[in-house]
Amino acid sequence: MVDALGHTDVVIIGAGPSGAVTAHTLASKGFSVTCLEQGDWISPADYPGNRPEYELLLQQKWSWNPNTRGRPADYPMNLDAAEVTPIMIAGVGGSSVFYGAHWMRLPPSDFRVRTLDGVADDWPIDYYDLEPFYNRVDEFLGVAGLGGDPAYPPQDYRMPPHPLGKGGMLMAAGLNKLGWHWWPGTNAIPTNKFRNMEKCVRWGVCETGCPAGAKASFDLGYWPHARAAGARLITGARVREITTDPQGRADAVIWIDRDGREHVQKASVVVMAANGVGTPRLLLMSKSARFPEGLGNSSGLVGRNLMLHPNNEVLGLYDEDIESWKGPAGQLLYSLQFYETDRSRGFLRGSKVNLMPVPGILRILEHFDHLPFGKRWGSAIHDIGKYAGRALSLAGNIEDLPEEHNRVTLDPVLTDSDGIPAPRIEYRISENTQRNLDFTLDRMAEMHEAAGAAHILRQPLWKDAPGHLLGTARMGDDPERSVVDRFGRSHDVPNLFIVDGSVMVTSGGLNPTATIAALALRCAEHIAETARFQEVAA
Amino acid sequence: MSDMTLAPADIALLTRLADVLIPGTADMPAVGEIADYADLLRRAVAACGYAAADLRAAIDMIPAEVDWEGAKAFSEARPGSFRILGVIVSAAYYMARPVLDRLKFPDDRRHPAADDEFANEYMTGILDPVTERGPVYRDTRQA
Repeated sequence: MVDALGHTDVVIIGAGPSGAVTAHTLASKGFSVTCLEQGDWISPADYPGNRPEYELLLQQKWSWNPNTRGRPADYPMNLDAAEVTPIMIAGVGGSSVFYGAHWMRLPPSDFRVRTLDGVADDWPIDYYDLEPFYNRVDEFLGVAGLGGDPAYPPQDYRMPPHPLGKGGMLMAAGLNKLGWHWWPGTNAIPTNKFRNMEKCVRWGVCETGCPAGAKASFDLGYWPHARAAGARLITGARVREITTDPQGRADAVIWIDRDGREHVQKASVVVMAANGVGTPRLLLMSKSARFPEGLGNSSGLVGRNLMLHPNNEVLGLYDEDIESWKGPAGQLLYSLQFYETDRSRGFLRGSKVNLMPVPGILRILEHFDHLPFGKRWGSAIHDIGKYAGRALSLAGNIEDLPEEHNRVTLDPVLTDSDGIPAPRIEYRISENTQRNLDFTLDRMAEMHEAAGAAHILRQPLWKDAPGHLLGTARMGDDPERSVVDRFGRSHDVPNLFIVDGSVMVTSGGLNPTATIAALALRCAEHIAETARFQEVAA
Repeated sequence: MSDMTLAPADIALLTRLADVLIPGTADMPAVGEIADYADLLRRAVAACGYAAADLRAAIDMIPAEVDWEGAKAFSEARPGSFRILGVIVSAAYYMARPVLDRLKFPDDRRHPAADDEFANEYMTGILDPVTERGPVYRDTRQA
């Protein structure tokens, strides 16, 4: 049975960071906004991090991998052809609920990769187009950081940075010894009470949800303000299709509630905010006689150029008591020493390295599972366990370049709990990316060595990628080489917009949420400014 | 989460295995010194992501009078099952307050920073070498 809901000016699909920013921006300007989110609100009281057994809860119930978690709100993925796993969680705030809130802009070179390095493509916009939007989102969320990082054009933040702590100071001294760049971590984690967020109490479990309500996940940082401005948010609403009218304009979305009932939400504008896997999935499902390859897919690029930022890690164990149970985690500091291209390294582009404390003990123990029985158990376990509270993680966030064979398609067999085709992920690590991974791994080991680590443990690749799902509906000026224009508008469907990480032309080597939020703000304001052309009631 | 419920006999077996794998030392408490170890085992089993059938099978493989040699043989014969139990008994041990006290993990997990904490770090001059080197980004307006 189909239940037809009233008309809304704008329907947004997905309540993660980009959906939240778009909803707030448009609702504040007087548009009627409805956001459909397949997940639910997640209460901070339910987060695993405030329980002593939280590391075990991450194995399945609160796993970052939706296939492992297996909740009805999650859609499964076919990962048979994926060398790394895209991670995500469906819910209000999206994966920001579990992000580390490392709040990094892309520096200017990221928008000009073709010009500077002769690979990939330039973005249709540059850093300076996006800079005012970065500034405004930073201001809205109360981002904490220290201005003046020489790896960026001038920037500053509302909140002072978090302390480096004992571990951060140790690593900073090591990096100074090497003569390498580093900077105190910029985090969307308020250092003082701000709006409806609490002051960070350095619980140290940011990536499992902040139990203190002191992290700018978008359920907290944006959605309360979007709802106060009048945006309507419907949870448990899984969209299965965007429909079009005879003129080829998007006119409605069909969604399924938790009881399996179908609803039709008519709208003047449809905004996709389901990120780099969910967005191409829905566009590919929205086939019609007019759009036989999927909606907005005349270029054939919907789903292609998937970038996932493969990560690696070097763990350092220190004899000093560095209180690594103390947050934020969050980044204590980051290094962009190896961010820009240096062809002598044998690959193009680079990586960001960030330092995080390691509060969990099981995570340290598992690094020693390869040891023979007598060196792992018995009194030997205490020789390992003594490093609890003395562990620091350096993680490399590796820029992967767009490649069309890395992509999202619809699986012919696998479906979600509503019978909708699941995405199939094809992702291979290129030779360039592998060299970048290897190089960064060696440099991170050198950083720990310079900082005086007693043990240095390498993890060449995290099987679970960091949840940076990018590039599958890229922006550009050429409709044959891109899916949306420089404002996120579909080249094919004039009232269809994409505001999430799908539109990123290159991935950069940095955590992308700041860029996604800035792009969403820019796009939302463009929607408002051009409303009369989309037949939206201004 | 596992929906398995540990029976008293299971608790006894796991505690015996933990005694072997994680013995007390001069610095660290023995499992027998942890009053709530049985509760912590239940908590670990309830939270973990292992399938109940795998947990059941692994527990049933623990030798009745497990000692060092028996545990070693178990680990070599059934590494997958042994690994599950190794995680469970370790998790329960490292959740115990006496153990965390010895490792200097504070009971209160809230550690708000003092207002001048970063300023004091900054005033040590730790950032000076970085700032003295000047800008390192590629300004595309000049490219």
